[in-house]
Amino acid sequence: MTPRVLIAGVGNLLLQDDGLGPHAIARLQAEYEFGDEVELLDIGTPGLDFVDYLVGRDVLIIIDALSSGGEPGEILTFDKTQLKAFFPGMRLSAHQPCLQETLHTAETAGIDLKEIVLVGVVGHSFEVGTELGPYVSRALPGVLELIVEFVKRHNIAVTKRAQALPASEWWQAEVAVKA
Amino acid sequence: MATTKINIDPVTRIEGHLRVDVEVDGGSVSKAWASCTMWRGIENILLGRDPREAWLFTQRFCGVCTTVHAMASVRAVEDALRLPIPPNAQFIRNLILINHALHDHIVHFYQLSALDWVDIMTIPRADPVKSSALAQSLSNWTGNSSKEFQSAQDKIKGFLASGQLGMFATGYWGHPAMKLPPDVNLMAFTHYLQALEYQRKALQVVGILGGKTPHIQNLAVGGVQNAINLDSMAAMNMDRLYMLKFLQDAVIPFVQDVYLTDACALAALYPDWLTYGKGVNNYMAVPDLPLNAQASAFDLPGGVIMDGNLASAKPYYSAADGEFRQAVTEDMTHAWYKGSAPQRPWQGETIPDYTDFQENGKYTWVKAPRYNGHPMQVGPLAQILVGYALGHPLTKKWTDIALAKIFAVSGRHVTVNDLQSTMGRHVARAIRAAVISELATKHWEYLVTNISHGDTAVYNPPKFPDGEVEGVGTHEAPRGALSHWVVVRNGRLSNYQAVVPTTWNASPRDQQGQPGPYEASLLRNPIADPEKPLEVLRTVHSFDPCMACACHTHDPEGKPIAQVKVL
Repeated sequence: MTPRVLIAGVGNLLLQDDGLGPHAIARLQAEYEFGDEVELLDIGTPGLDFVDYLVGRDVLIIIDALSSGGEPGEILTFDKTQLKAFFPGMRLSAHQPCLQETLHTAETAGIDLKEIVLVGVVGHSFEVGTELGPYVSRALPGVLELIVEFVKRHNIAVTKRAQALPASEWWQAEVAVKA
Repeated sequence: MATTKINIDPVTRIEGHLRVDVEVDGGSVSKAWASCTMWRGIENILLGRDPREAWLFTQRFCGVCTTVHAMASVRAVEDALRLPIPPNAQFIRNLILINHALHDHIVHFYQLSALDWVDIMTIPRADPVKSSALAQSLSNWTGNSSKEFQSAQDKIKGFLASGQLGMFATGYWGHPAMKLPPDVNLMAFTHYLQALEYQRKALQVVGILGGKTPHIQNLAVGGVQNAINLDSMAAMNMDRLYMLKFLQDAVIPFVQDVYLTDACALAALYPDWLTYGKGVNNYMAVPDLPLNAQASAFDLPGGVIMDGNLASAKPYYSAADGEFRQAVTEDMTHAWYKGSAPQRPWQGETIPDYTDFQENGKYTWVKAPRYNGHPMQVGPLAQILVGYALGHPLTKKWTDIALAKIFAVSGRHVTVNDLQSTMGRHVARAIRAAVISELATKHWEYLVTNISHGDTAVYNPPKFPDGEVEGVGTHEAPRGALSHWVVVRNGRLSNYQAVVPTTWNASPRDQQGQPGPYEASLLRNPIADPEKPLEVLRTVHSFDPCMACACHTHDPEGKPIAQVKVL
């Protein structure tokens, strides 16, 4: 059976490089066509409610900015074992998106994610702003290719659109307000 | 794949990090400081933009409360324009807010704070049959069978046997302040597992009406973008409406029979915690769930109580109430911003002036909001006290049910005044959830009735005047009174300030040295073991803070004796 895949872009769009996840999702939607078993989700900066989006998935691909671990702009990937090895901490807040805690909670809830992969880019600029900084911006095409490769490994068709759709990047320029 | 071990906690989350410093003297807290260690200043991104787009940005302020910031933003612009919105739009927004709140309260109680009170490690010693019988004696919930409880216990035993504690790897297990018998712990854990299923149903309602979650897509200044057409498959039709009702009907009994019961059981079995953590006892709530186009009548009351005296309660009749617009100021004396004199939000400035943590000087990025100069506690406790004091029938009904449930377990008479405490905040949140769950059905009926009368309007187009207009949008969010303050000049945003619930509650001291609610509530909290300040976490968690925290404990000389990094 074809696995059900969630590609989740994590991060805050208003803080430059931290917005990598949402930026990547918008680009993937504009440039590629994925099979029905794949859902792309700009999930922002969730707390434990991340778990609510994992029900019924077999494969989780996370895109997120990293605070350290390499040179700015470096792409790093982590698998399920590596991600779960990080300890869940105690927390005071609903807004601490402790990824490990999300994964452990999902497991406690009986959500069986066969494969989890995090594709991260080491960030550099985290000031207020909706544009990615130069390092992460340059890394973005490489991130998209990696994501497509991960999806294809599961025998799911991914096609690059002959002509990219206009990306739904409402934060780039003022959009006409619909009603 | 790379094998380097690095910290992958994502960086710079928007609400910043909460740090709590407490001094412990003779086994209890003698001084406390609440400090936010990250600058937000996020409002500045809105200056010069089109006010009709602001809500798209404000719902990115924070990842958990996305919806509430979108709603307060469109309301603020509509208030500035004195723009009524069609009743259908009010009811659709209300259903989103109701279901968002139900989701948020369930998540807070079970996922984020129950384990402060429930010692998971005692669960293998529980008797599932007795535990299930106890649960059945407290409510009619269908998920209280001994089989269900047995399976929850097996789950914990499995984790322990594998040595893979997963999410339970940290926690103050065996702490002397953990007092529940194993059977009660098993009951709470069983419901914790079930909560995951019901919170998701509430979220699905938000997703159906909002187009997607997180980050709803259906709002507009002037109404909503949900097309209503009972004859169209693509629009809001009866199928869609009944799907909403079906989901709500599943969530409502979980809130009323399980969540409220568990919160009351905790209160009954931790009676001391109805005496700790009162703190600032001025309370404020804003009215919500508007019932008409002008938003001049509401299903949830707002008002103010001073000095914990319920007889002093004064109502707000609407968000446009003159007093609220005049009374709110923000003080920067102890916050890392230029200036100190209190400013009204419309004139508010956000110019950073960082100094380091100075106990007697500036020590936080949170401004100190004040109401006529007074610190105020906001949140479910304020909502319940204001509603009760003003004779709001649903609040009174569910508060009395909760107090009776506490009596049934403990044999102790607890009054509404006892809710002014750490545990009281948990009980109040559960009461509020029960009140809202009843209104879920009512507002669904309002919407269906209005549509069946042939009204399909959802939007009134905004018109921006030349010159300057000011507006305030309020929403009584799960964490308390939220207000967005906008100034629009020639159709562009010239000022934007969000005064959020956690700003009220995590407020620092002000010009007069009056502490904020977190700071005041920690005083005289017992601390059994300064290296494991579980009691501090209990009180801070009871407010449902929206910041990540580092909690430090100091001895009276100011030397850190324990530093607990709280992730």
